[in-house]
Amino acid sequence: MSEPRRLAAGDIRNPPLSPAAARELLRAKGSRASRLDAIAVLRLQYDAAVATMLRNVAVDPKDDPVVRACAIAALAVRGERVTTEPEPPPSVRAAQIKAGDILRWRQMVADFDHGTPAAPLRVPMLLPAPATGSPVQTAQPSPQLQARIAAALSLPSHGGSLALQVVMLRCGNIELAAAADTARLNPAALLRAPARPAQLAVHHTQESDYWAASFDIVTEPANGGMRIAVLDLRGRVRFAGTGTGDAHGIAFTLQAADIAGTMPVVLRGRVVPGAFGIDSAISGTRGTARRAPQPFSGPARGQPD
Amino acid sequence: MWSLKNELKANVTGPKASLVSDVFGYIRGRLPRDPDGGPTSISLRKWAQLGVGNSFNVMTIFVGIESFTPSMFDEIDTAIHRMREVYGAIGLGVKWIVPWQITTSDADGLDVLTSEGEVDDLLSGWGFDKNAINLYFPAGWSMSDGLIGKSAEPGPCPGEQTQTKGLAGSCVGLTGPLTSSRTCSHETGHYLGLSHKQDFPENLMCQTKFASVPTWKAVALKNVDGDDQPAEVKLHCMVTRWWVA
Repeated sequence: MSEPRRLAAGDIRNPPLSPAAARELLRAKGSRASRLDAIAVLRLQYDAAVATMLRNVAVDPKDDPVVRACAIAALAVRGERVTTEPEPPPSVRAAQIKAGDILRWRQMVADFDHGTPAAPLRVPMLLPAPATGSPVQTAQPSPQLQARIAAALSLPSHGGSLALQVVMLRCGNIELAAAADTARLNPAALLRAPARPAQLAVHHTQESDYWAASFDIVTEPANGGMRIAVLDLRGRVRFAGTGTGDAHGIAFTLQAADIAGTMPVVLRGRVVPGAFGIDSAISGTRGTARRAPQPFSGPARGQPD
Repeated sequence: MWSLKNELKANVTGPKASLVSDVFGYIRGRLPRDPDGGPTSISLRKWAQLGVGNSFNVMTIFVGIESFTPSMFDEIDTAIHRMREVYGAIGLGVKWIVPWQITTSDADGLDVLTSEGEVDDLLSGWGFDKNAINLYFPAGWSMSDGLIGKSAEPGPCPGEQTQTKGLAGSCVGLTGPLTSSRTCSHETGHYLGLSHKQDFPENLMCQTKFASVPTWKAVALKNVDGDDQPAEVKLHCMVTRWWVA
């Protein structure tokens, strides 16, 4: 917490289009930027007609590849896969890969919710636990804040109201919230069957101040104990660890996955019937190297407009 | 003594030097227009006087390079030139503009950004610790929440990216030259340590949503609200500690 203040900030504008104008623009095949704006607006107005429009764009080999890529991703978030031509442009191919990840993640989360994942978790190489570093502070949110965080979550309520426990995690100016369904915090059950007992929400403060449930926390029995993974919205494991059962519940440890630009982290805590707690959490001071761009291959000079 | 000949000799690797491309860094090889299409100018003399303490360097990084079109490079050149004008007005120059790229396959889905979380992934997972502000331009930008750019605030100093938690650069959506030209300077302002000034619609650090119209002209940097913005940006390590190529 003693490190220099480091925030992030952004620029925002008013919505550039009305929904009606967005539909017209996406159909009309205007500039790339305006059609990407149109998709941004229509994602929030998603219905059968929008889905059809997006589908038409996504599969049209004559359409702008970047707009197609955006449409493919928008459909995947809604659970729809599209089939394109056999050798699409790079951005469309990349969007198909991303869409495949998103669809697999959706299925995986649903499977863990039902306790029936198709395959065991694949845990990547983890960064070593830092011995020293900045402590990650934990706190209880106010009821108002907890309500805001709860509104961002997608944990299943199984027909009843969701009883949540939320713990805030702060390191520097990064603020997260671990939110668990207390009904799922049953150590014996967690050691017996796969589950998605919790999510990790991220606090964004750039535009309107909002919380987004950016990670799912899933568990499965393993080696007499429990394996834990924190998945991002493409199903990639960002943190992972293990839990060991004892007379009081489950003691667990989580570490960061070895991904470019990641700080090593170690978080230790416990799950007891109906609750969880964080005993200690430390973030390291030196992260992994970030991926480096390549020199510009050009030429852009003299290209026709 | 500075000479253009020596400068070009030291920095131009291609067979033919272009003042506009190789010195000023404009990808399209011509002086950009204003965001509204008006004519612009640039001074070689003033550029030659830039160095440590009165300027900073920028690495422009094109994410998903295969999808970039000439008009996108025009938009980027316009944004960079506008940034030169905005910071030039307070005596801070933009010296070297060095273009870099990320291929679509390497970008792994971050060539077309649709959420703030993806912007965070780009700015935290990529970075090049080379004494220049990393300024990313993704091939596609489609944000439902109105986000048009994001940056570390302040951005890391040369040599400090691995000690930096989270974001290590600035990112600008190519949403049209009237918008992106301002956002480019605005995000760079964050990198250089400036925070939002929502109550000052003429100020560069007022978010575009609240800025005076036309927004591309709402770019003042002043002593406002207790912050001496011109003095503050000149204290950033990207201004005080950069190398001369």
